Amino acid sequence: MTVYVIRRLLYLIPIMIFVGTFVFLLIHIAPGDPTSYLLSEEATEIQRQAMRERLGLDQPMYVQYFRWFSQLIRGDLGESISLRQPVSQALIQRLEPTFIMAILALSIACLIGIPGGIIAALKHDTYIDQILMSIAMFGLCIPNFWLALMLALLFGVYLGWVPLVGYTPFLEDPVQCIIYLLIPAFVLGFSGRSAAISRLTRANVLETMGKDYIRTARSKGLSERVVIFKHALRNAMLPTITVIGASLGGLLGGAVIVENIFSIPGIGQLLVASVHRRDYPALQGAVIFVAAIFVLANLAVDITYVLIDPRIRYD
Amino acid sequence: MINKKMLVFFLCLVFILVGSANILAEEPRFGGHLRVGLQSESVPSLDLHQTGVTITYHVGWHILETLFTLDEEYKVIPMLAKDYEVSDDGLKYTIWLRENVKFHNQSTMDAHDVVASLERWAALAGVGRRTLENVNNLTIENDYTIVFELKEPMGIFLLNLAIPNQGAYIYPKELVEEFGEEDMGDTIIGTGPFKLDEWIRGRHIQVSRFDDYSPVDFDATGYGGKKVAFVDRITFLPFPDSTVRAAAVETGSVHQADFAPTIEYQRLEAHPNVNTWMAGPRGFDALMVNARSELLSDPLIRQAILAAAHAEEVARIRYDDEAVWSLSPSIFPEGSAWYSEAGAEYYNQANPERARELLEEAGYDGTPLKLMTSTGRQEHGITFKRQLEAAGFVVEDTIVEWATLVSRRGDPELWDLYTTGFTWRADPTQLAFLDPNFAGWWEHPRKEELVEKMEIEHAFEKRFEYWEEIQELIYEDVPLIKLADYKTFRISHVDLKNYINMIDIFFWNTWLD
Repeated sequence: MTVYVIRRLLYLIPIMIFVGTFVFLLIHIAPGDPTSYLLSEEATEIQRQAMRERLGLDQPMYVQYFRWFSQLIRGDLGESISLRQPVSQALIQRLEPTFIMAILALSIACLIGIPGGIIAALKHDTYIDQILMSIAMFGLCIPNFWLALMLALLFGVYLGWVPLVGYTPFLEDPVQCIIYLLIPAFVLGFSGRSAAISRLTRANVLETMGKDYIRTARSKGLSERVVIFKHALRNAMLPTITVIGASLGGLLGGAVIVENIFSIPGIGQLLVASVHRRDYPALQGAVIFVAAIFVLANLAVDITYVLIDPRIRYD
Repeated sequence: MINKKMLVFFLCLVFILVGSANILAEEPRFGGHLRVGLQSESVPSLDLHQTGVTITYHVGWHILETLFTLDEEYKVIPMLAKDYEVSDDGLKYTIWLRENVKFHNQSTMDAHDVVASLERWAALAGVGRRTLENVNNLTIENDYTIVFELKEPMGIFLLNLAIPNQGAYIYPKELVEEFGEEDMGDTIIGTGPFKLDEWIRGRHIQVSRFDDYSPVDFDATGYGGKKVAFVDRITFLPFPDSTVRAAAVETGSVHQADFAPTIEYQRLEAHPNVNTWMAGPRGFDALMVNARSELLSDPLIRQAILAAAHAEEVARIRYDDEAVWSLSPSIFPEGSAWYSEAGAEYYNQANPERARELLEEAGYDGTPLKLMTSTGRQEHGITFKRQLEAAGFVVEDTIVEWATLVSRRGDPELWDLYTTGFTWRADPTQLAFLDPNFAGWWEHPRKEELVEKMEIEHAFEKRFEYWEEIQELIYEDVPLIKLADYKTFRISHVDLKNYINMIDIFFWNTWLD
């Protein structure tokens, strides 16, 4: 197991180098450079050239690449052009809101999705099942930016229950922090995630409930609660866990949209802003970072398998 | 008869009472925490020598100040300077500085700080370089007097020291020596009414009242005059989404927001919590013409494009509400000292027949006209393409995002026309497109001559004469096609009092109810 985890962690290095190089090429091939953001609309080409020289962007691409790469292998992600601070520092600052929002969103998705799926399965082909699955379909189809704007309008403007946008750091005021993130997290958790989880849970529970060992458990005289929670659910949950793990990547994708709407200073907002500003170091750093989270989340899912299903071993 | 008199008396009484009640309600109040919604996720720098991006000085000039600034008519007035004198030949400028002006680090501003800052400004800002290049000698006569000896007279010398974007902001000498040309990051120390407290990139910028601020001794006007920091603190918060920015003002989460969504103009205007403001015209939309393009080297073809242009149609399609735009042939907006109707007959012609005639005369062979549009101005490109095609042009259009457009516009092979906008400047000589280096590369011997004359001349009447001729040339030689003037739609919460609506936003002298 330990060997397996170490090996998986070592895979991170080539993945990050590959991702970083890929993003480096992509963003450098894209026309435009950071001067379009740093200088005003009306700057002349001479002013732009002077700025490029100051930023070292006049060097050939391979020179820039090797400079960036040699920094990277020393663990230095470089300095953000637009923020004028080290990329690693910018990422750490922005990790907190994104991380808390992702955890909240996943929790909301599970809290809605798993019980919904189980109830729908146990009451399958009844109107309860149909209502639950309709809600799930609704969540799956609804675009998250629309839902975000509508909920902001409803709870922020009309009802005035929650502050509309912004963020308070967790250590400053945990309650306020959660309040700020609640609606964005709900949007992320509900649209797409909870729907996928509930539909999958329903299908798996339904399938498991028809298995021989469930009939055996029931014939042993076990209570329905024990049958469902101990025998059926544990077996039905494996695919759901895969989806939850994989959701983390999707959540980061969704965070890009939701963070921009709700003005949450997280990784998603940094990513979008860096693309627009052609802030090469920040963008490369952020993508590498997201890739690392992806890999680590998948690793966490694999480890969870072992805990849930003793038949799985990574020896 | 008596009743009528009584009625008039009572009406007068009511007006007086209501008036005084209003005055009482408008009584300035100290204290409070003002929150401002910014349209961009982050501010690239607060070191205002580094960049001219609008958002940077909208925040930064609460902290930093210049020697001169602009009054409500956008004329130059002293700020850190107390007074000045220009020699008769226009070659010697003596500037006396205000005494006992404190920096936020408690040191006192003197001529050494000013000279160090101006030299840094010249090294970093284009306008600074152009200004100080014309200075033979910059001497410190005493701690509060500096003397500039110019190579040639320069009519816009003081104006250059007064402009806010990438302007001649004054820092303490030690700071300038410590950082050189490097960005000062969060170590921004100035003489402004507010000092920088905290800047968390992407989250907020917070400034608070500088208790030892020394204001000038004349009434507030425009960006200058007596500045008072009524609020204790100002926090600038990023709200990239315009709908959300507007909602934040409605709910009182922030007190002011720039660039509110024009599509919501009617609704926001009727909203009880919101005051709406139209600032400007802030600038005008335009199509830049490529002077190096083979196709457009024929003036008849350029005139044909101008004849085909229907600025009103473009504006109607681009903007959601008529309150946001207006039509005017003048490069400078109505109300400005530089307003002129020279060449008006060429503006907004919407005359495809005339364009066809001109094309025929030019012997246009159907070579495609390359029209480049940025995603933010798609409506321009699409509408204009249709107008050109109606006049008989073959148009090849590309739509790219802004950063791409900026990089492509540097290459004359890639485009014939591109959509853009120009912001209003205090002086015609600062208009970007007059510079032959600006993408479009307009070169015209008479224009060059006139611009040079304007730079040297001091007398407004003379300068205005030159400018009128330049504007006439803009319509005859067609280096660009002016479309509609646009305004900035901004909103504030009713709690924000004494908000002064100029082109650029500032929050000294405003208070919270």
